Amino acid sequence: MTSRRPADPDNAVARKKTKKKAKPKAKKKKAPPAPPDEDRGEVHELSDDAEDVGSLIAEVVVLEGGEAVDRDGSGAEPDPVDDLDAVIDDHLDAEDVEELIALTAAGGEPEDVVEEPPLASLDEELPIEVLDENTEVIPPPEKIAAAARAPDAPGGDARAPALERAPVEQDLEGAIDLGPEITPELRDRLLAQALAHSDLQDARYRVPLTGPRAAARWKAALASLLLLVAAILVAVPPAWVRPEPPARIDAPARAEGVRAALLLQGQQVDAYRVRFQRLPDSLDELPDRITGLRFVKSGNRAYQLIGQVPGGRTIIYDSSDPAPEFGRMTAAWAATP
Amino acid sequence: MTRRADRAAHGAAAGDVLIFLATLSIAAALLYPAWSTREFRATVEEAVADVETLSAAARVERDRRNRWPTPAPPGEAPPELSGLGQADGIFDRLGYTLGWASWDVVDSVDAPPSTDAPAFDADPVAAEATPMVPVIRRVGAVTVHSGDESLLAELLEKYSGRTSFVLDTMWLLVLPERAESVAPSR
Repeated sequence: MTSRRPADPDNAVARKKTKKKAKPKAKKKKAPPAPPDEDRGEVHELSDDAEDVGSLIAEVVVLEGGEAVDRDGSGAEPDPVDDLDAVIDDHLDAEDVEELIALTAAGGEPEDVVEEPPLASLDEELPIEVLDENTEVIPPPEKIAAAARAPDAPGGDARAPALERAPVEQDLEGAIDLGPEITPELRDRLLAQALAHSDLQDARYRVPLTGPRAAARWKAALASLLLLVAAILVAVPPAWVRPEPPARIDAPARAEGVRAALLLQGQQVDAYRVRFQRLPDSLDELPDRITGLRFVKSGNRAYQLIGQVPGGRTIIYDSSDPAPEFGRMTAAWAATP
Repeated sequence: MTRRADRAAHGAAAGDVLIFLATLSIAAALLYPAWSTREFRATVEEAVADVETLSAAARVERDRRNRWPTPAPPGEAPPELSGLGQADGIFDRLGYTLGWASWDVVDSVDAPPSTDAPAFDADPVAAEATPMVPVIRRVGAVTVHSGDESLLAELLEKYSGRTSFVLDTMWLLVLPERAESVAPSR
């Protein structure tokens, strides 16, 4: 907090001198900027024991020039009162002189001291209002967004356009103008309400829905039920789960295969006999043979081929009297065109 | 955390794991049969396609040179059909092996009439019983060797209209000299 002393004529003169000194600098705007350590507008403390205006002016002159001016060239210490006219001519114009005289005569006009309101302390404890569930402390985000888009709508924030339309070059203080509505008390109150609301929500979320034992119990029951369903699906799958079973080779099909193999091998033996006019001693003499068949030669023209089905039953192909089943097969591949 | 709370927390975690495993088991029980069947069907279709390819190539070769391709061991391509046995060939697949063979078949045909015997001495009974002479023909054969009995059974069923049989772990399809018009059943 700043306070100013009541104006008195002496100080008024000093301020006037300072103002006088600042004026030419303001007029020299086009000049390059002065260094930071330059004394601009600094108010020098003048001695309180100045007896009159003349001595005061002389003191000012000494401060400004650094030393007293020996105007007459005599070398003697100049008399401040004598040099008053010269100083006035050099440093003050007529208008300033008149104002100075008027101030001296009137004793100076007191300045208005404006008392600034005291700043609120953040550490000060304020009463916290208890919130009920229906209290809306912080508006929802969609409401804030809507208010920002349409500040003139009911419920809109009048500060939104100031924030949005503030140009970059604008002064920051002008852009974030909180206005007189937000007082420190209101701000602290809103902060306290927000903290209370947050604590309330946090406390609600921390309350467990069910006890850990109950949760473990129903989870175990559910897991048991699911495992039972899975076991049933694996053991006794329903029709819509069971795919079409792949084909299997039954016993008749296997027997038919053995017969076909015997007949085909017999054709190789017959071809050998046609070519060489004799029967082979074993199947190894044939260029093509089927494994798993036995060959028995019962004479110069007759032979038997023996095959075995997986069940242990044997099937015999007798070249002298083949079974009727073999005759049907022969027509399939030996028919002449 | 107290011992009781710790035990409760572990019990809850075990329950979650059990529920997850049970759900996984149900999904596996529902999806595995369909998945395995789909894979098997794909293998069967691939085998049928390979058999058809080899049959067609062998028949083309026979029509061109009037003889079947040279037999080759299972999994190897005949020299005449070496193009089919190159990289990503059809003879060695995952789950089965393709083979090519040819077999002799003895057929009996009427003997040509003899010009030595006079016509008036001909015995009417003997004349009716014309002599038959054996003729050796050769048929082609496509074989599929596999330890999967279901695959062989599927092939046997698909080619039920043609001469094929299963012996142990081999399925054999006979290709007569004449092209058969019977297509494999779908």
